[in-house]
Amino acid sequence: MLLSLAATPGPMPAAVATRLGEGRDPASLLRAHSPEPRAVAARLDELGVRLLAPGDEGWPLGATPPDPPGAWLFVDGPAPPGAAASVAVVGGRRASPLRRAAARSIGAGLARAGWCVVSGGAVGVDAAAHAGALDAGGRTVVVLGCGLDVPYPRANTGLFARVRAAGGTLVSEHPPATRPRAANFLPRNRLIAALSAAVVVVEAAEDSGSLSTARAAGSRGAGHVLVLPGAPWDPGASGCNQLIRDGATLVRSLTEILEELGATAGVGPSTGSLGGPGGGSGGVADDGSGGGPRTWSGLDPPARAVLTALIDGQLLTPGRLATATDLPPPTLDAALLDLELAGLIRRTAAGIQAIDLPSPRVSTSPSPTPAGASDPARPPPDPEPRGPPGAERPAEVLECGGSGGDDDRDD
Amino acid sequence: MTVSRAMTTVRFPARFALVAAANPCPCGHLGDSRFACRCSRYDLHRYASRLSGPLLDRVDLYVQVDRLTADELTGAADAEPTAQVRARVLAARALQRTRQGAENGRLASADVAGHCQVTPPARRTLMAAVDRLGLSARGFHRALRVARTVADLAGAERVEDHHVKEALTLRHLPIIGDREAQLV
Repeated sequence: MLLSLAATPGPMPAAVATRLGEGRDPASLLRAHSPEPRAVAARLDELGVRLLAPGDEGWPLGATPPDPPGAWLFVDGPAPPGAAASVAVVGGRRASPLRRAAARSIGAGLARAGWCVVSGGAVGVDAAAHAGALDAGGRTVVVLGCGLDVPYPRANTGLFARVRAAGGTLVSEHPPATRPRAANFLPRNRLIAALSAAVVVVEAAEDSGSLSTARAAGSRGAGHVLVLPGAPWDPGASGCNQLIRDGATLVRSLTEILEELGATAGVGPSTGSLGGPGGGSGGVADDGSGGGPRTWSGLDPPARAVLTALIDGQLLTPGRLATATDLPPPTLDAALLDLELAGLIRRTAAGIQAIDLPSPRVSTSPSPTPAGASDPARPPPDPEPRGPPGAERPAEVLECGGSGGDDDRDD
Repeated sequence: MTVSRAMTTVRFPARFALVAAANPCPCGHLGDSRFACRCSRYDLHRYASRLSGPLLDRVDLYVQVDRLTADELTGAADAEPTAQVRARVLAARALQRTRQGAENGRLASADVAGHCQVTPPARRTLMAAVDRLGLSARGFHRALRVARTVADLAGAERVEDHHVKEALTLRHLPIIGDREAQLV
């Protein structure tokens, strides 16, 4: 019955789920073109996809039902661990390189702390968060707005294969062969929120889908929406800043994210439910670009001035950079080359752009360092649980995009 | 110019400096502070693919120019007078002829390494550019020549690290029609 209903093309799953929630008989919701349950089962077998429904073992939405509720999930891979062990990382397709780098770093950090990363399947922030988590040896859940057999977006089909190979899961409410219609994505976002303990918003333009995911998580109460802020003139931050104004929690670093998760989600994921977090010291600082100074203090003053001018993620031509930094051309050229060799900027026809930021401090402590205190004697790490018991603590403080303002720290 | 192929070697008498200009994209506004670029990714890709990589690799100096301000347009802004630049260039060329009997641009490839001695930090920078910026073998030698010229213009005997960095920045082409550039 449910197989047939779930595989019926046409009606929005969220709408059907609402009716079922109101006590409607599933049989009354079938349509003339609803497929035979046996045919559906055969097709799902062929694809290696299962249908999960409330009450089934592994149903991940029991503790945190979305609104409208979820009546079923098509699942490719192990059942998603759900809100007890997962964190969503969301942002747009057109996020700036710095915000994508931040998403990657956060994905990696969450994975190392033992969290399963949940996101959509789009290019941009979604893909970066999954890739970061996978690089760190973690497991992720991709929530799609189309059928699980529909390769959309095509650019990410390789990533989806990686997700599955790493023991992760592809999830959708939509039956196989459903095309990715725009209308599918808003209801999809409520599932991303419901499958996670909290939503980390890395980027959100005005009226973006990330906002709807954040609002769905925010309806569960305080502490479920963690937001990277941005400058008022940064279009990729306008939704972020609005969320903060509306009461979401501002986070500036992976450390702060893990602290908030410790406070909100209590003990965090249990070790048994996840593949062990891999080693490695991934994150912003080691996407393979290697070499060069990767801390603010390791950069010389001209390079710091250039990076500070680029910190909002905008593009500046060499001419405009010269005006902004007031550096003579040979000094500017040398600074640009240093930053490029360090993998921190990129040149394009449209101008020069920061693609990564160095860590503002070299720290092996997972606790935040008060600005300006470069501190041999740190208090011992705070014992509050931030990840699964026994999980390895993050080895370094990984600052995300926007961690500027350190240019006063000359040495 | 000498072209050697399996069967023959042909010599073409040619001695020229190529000076070319290009727009960053078909509409001309990619990176413009005043007007938004209206090219699609496909437009950018097609535009960029018109210039072959090996041709671009032979260009030593790239200069990205911005829209001029009114002051710059009317010449009210400060700039070094051409006569002064000319004097510096002539002095550098004289220096090169004295040192090696030819200008840097006319040095035979085999002589470049000998006459363009660089300091150890400068060498490390060049190697890093090969590793991380994908500098080609041709690019390496051409950058070395430009670095020698930068040092000559500054009246420096040795090619220092900052000369090499300036040369590498000058020869590094802004990728015409880079798709990522439009994402912000």
